Amino acid sequence: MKKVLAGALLLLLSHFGYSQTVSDQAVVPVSVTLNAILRLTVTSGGNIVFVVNTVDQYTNGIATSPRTTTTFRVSSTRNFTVTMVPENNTHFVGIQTNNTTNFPITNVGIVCAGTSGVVIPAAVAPLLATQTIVTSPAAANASYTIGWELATNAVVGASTLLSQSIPADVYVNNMFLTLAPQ
Amino acid sequence: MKHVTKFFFLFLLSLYIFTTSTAHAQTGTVRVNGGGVQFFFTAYNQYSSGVTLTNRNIVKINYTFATPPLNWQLRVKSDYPSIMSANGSTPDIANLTYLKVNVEGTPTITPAGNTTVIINGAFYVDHLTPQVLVSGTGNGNFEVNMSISYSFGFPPPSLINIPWGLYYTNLTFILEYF
Repeated sequence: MKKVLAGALLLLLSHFGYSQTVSDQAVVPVSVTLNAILRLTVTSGGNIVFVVNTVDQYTNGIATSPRTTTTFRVSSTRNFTVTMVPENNTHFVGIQTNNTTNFPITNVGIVCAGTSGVVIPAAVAPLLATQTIVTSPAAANASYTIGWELATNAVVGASTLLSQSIPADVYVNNMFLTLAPQ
Repeated sequence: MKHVTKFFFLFLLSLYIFTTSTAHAQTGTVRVNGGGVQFFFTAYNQYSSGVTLTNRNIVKINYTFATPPLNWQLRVKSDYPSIMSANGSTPDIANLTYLKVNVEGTPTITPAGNTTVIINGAFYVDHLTPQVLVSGTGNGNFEVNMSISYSFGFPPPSLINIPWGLYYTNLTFILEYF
């Protein structure tokens, strides 16, 4: 009889516990879509032209100026890099003679600057076959410049355009800027 | 002694029946209208400053035969300890404090005066400890309607450098009385 009473008491107590807890509940699903924010826009200097028509220019090259500067902006919600790769990664192509051997990319130099992250090269240096020019934390509308130089002493040293005896032609190359998250 | 035991048994039985009927009398329901909550981040300033969905859901609490006066509360919790990634290769957003819940404006009470409503203010959801959204003391039948807003990604921390993708969790609204 004592066991029956104890059981009844336990049942009663458990019922008290049940009646005092959750009355009702409802569930709401929540979803979050994070779209990729990774934008690079060239705002000026998308077509750089050097015209070499004096002996002085053949000897001393053409230094960077606002006319030979490319400006671009980057917005990214993640840390990012900007890499520059020439389409023809050894030489510029002579479009009149289809010459692909006489004008090495190292005749052209660049100097970079920007508002966010580490920018390379900070001083004029010859073009490379591939080069990470910006390494930056996430940023909104960060601005960068690439100053272009042709065959100055800082780019080619003693190996001037004159000493290279390059045939007259129009030499072209495309530069690809690639923005990527880290 | 035998009669005393029988009497005690009958007493427990009657008490059980009484509390059962009492428990059934105090019934309450909570309904969330408006469906799921979807956040879309498509601009840099949303990543850095967050997104708010105002008046996204209507929560309706309905009590019947709630006499004598009772205390009630509506609590909210996340079903998961993180904001879960839907992509197996992308890590979860470990910090639940990206997701905030708030009651907009003043809840409507029908009939007026049958319950008090205390709004707890905006809070970040938690997994282990459901947070009190609203509470009150009611008497008799009453219905409470309130508008709910949700925020996601208000710094600190911001969503900058969180991998892109689809994330999810469930919010459970728990209605309790005591």
